Amino acid sequence: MVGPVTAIDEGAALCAPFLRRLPADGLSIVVVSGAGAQSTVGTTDTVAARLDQLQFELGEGPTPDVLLLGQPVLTPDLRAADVRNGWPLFGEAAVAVGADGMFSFPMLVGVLTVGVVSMYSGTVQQPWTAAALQTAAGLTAAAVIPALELAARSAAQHERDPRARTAELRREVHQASGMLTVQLDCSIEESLSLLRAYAFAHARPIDAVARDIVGRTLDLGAEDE
Amino acid sequence: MPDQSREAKLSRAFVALADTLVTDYDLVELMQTLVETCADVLDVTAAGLLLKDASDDLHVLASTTEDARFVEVVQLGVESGPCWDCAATGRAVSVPDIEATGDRWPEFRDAALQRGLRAVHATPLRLRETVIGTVNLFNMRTGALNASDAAAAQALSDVATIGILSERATRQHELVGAQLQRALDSRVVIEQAKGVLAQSLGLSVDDAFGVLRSFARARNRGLRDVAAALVERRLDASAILEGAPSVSAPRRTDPRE
Repeated sequence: MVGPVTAIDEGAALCAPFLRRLPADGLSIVVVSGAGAQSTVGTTDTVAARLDQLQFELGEGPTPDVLLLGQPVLTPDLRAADVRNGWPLFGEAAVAVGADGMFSFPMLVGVLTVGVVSMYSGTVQQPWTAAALQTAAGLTAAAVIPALELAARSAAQHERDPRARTAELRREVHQASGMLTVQLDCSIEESLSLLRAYAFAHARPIDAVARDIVGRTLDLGAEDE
Repeated sequence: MPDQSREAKLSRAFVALADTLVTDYDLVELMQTLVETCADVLDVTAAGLLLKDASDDLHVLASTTEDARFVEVVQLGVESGPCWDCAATGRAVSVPDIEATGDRWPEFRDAALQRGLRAVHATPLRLRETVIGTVNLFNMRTGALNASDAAAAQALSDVATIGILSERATRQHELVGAQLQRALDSRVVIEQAKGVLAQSLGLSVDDAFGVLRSFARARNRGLRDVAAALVERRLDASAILEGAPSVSAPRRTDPRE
């Protein structure tokens, strides 16, 4: 059982250089597959974890944009008008959990974008200097293969390590989605959308909603819309 | 003056070759640029390029004339000839007069002379110990390639070698990346299938996984395949349960005997 312990430390170790060398207060590292499956391999703190969760819930924010564009997405001020237009739900939610600016970089392998390093700051910042952007891109490039290996290794485990400090693959969300396909007689994609909508409408983290469904203390099929 | 224009052409050729290496370049285009540059700038009639594939087999990847291509194909067919030797040894092979080679490479000799080619200079595409192919310069006149052309051919080949190797490394990287990503897809569909089974059969998700795994093992099918079939409803959850007794039946009979 040495593996999982190492994996936990490795996630933190991958995040550490970004905090040391860049004007960020925290970050998350997310690996994403071509089919859209994603695994959070590192988060530095609860704000970073919540930002990661919100983007997964809402399907909007810098991470989906970076994945789409394959380019950095830099928002030194999350309260700016164009942020509200681009991310009507995420922009406000991010500020509410304590982020004022975000700086997100693609993890590239050749032409593939395999993940995103997303940093936040708790204060509105000046745009980063060219040197800082270059440092961020270099640190991101160095993190790519270790992050991919870490994600693949944790995905190979049949059960989530209870000591894991990150959301990892959000296994309960996928288990709950599978349950909903049977309860509501719908596709897996519809199930996930429903789960996301429910979490947002009830202002509850999607992981908590999923845990309740899996634990059978919440039955969306029995709820009146 | 002619020398100056040659130097200028050569400089432009290096820039063009380097340009093709910058972003999203096409390997075939790079190799075509290389042979055309050689034929254009150096004192030769035609140029061709042989490249090794992943299993070390040589292929004709580019040539400036059909004659050069033919002579290269003949060498690959009989696995002999100066270009073949160059690829095998990683050393340049210079043949100033093909007619005077006797019976060293008979098929190559006949093919070259038939197409009017009288001399060849084969340059390796090489990085340290690794030989990935050759650049072959043909002439309709006999005579060795002059020293400065031979040096230029080697320099152009070195630039191309780096381009080819870096493209291969990138592709290898992408392959590894995609393989690692696939692990996530497998796990997600397995978790979804646990949910489908748990809900259909009234099990906990942990027990659902046990049932899923027994079913996949008993049928000698991959966990991911079975999981995907369940999630996409190509396989009914009840079929998994019906399958269960047949899995445990032989075990149950054992103690009685």
